[in-house]
Amino acid sequence: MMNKKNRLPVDPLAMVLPIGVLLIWSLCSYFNFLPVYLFPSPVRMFKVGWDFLIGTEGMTPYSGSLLNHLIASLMRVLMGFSLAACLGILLGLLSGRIKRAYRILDPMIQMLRAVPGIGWLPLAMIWFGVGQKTTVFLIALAAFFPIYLNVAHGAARIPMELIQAAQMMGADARVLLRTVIIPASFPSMLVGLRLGMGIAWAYLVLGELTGVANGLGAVMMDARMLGQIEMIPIAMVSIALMGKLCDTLLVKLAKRLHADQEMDR
Amino acid sequence: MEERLKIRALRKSYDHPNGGERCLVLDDVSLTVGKGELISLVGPSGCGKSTLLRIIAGFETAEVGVVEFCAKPVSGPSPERGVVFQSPVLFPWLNVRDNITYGLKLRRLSDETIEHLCQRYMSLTGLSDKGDFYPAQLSGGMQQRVALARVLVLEPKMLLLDEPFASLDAPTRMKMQQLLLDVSIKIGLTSLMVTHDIEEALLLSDRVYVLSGSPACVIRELTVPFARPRHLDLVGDSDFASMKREILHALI
Repeated sequence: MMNKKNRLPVDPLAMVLPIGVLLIWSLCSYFNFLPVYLFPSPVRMFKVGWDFLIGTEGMTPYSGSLLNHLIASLMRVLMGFSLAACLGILLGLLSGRIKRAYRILDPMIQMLRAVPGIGWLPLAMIWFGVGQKTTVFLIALAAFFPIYLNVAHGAARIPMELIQAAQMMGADARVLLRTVIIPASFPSMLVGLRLGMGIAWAYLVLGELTGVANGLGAVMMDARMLGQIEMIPIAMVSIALMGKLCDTLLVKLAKRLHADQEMDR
Repeated sequence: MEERLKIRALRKSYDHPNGGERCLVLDDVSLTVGKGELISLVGPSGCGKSTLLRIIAGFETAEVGVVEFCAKPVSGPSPERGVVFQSPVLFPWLNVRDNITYGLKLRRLSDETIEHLCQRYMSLTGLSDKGDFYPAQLSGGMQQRVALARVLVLEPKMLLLDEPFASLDAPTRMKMQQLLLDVSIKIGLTSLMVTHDIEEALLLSDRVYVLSGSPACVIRELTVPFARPRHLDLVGDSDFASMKREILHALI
């Protein structure tokens, strides 16, 4: 084991592959092994990326528009995710705690879950048209399942004695929900929300690929047609960073709510 | 003596887990607990003692028979009958202080009253410096103290203890037994304890009910004559040894 004092924020071994890839990529571009129309050079990509953010160079049609696209995408993710979270937590608690609700809800939900999220795309496009609504619908639908499943599972396996302990100290059904059932299923709720958040960003791209005016997914599809190939990996990286940021914020928020719960990264 | 708990001709059976006939766990059990008494139920493991306690607590119901607490039939769990389970069953997301004040906070008491009661029972159970700890940071014995404190603080009319010290190591168990002896005297508790430890039963109780194996029914009732306050040293006493032998013979 490494000494605590000497521990770096990042494991040096973890850096070997990324630096190696960057090095090979640079060399390939420099010696023209990698045609520019297939993959841009690292220098060009960083420049275009910086221009995408700041917009002083005007290198691409996307110059300076990162924030616009990012906010558009973020709003869609948040809308879809919130819908999924509300519905997933509500139905999850119901089916996790009430046997009859489980018998009514769970078989139907499990059946729907068998359809891959992408499979809903054609129907969604007919129902909601191309764009915003379809994207939010797809996100909400796909993020719902992991949230529901984890909440239901967490709520169902709360030890009976924990509930009885609360009852014998005077808790009625409503107090029980607030003081035992929600806190006790909180760790699995968080697992579900984190999975759902990850899926939300994946389905954002799917929804935006179908042709919306703005958003990071739209940038990717657009850039392909305009031959602005360097924009594609830049948009991909932006999505990855946003996904990571949302996950970190979610965990931070959860820790705030439940300071004491042991939570992994 | 004022009667706290009265049980008459209680009968309880379960569906057999593998199908087939229902199995009888309690058959014609009768007992009483008076105010201020500490009563033990001794019997072989799995004989239905815990089921009996759970019925008294209101977690389960019996098919036939009477369970009256303070002359009223038991209809469900209530803070009047505080339960200490075999494992501590604390709320892991609350610290010791919040675990202990859980029931008090449901009573709409003032913050000062809650704080005062919490302090009193924390010091009574030897937890004064543990208020900010979380259950996972405490040893099993300490956790069980919290489990005891959180029901004592509600000042229940009766304490129901389900093999409360069975999962503790021997020295910790003895400490907890002494603690229960001391606390009982200080606050005049009425308790019913389920145990399979004959020494524990004799050491702590005023009376001992000996239950037979499944289905459980009362086969002996003994009055324990030793004066209070009692001390753990009592275990070496010759009268103690002969009573222990008497119970052993009844059981085997």
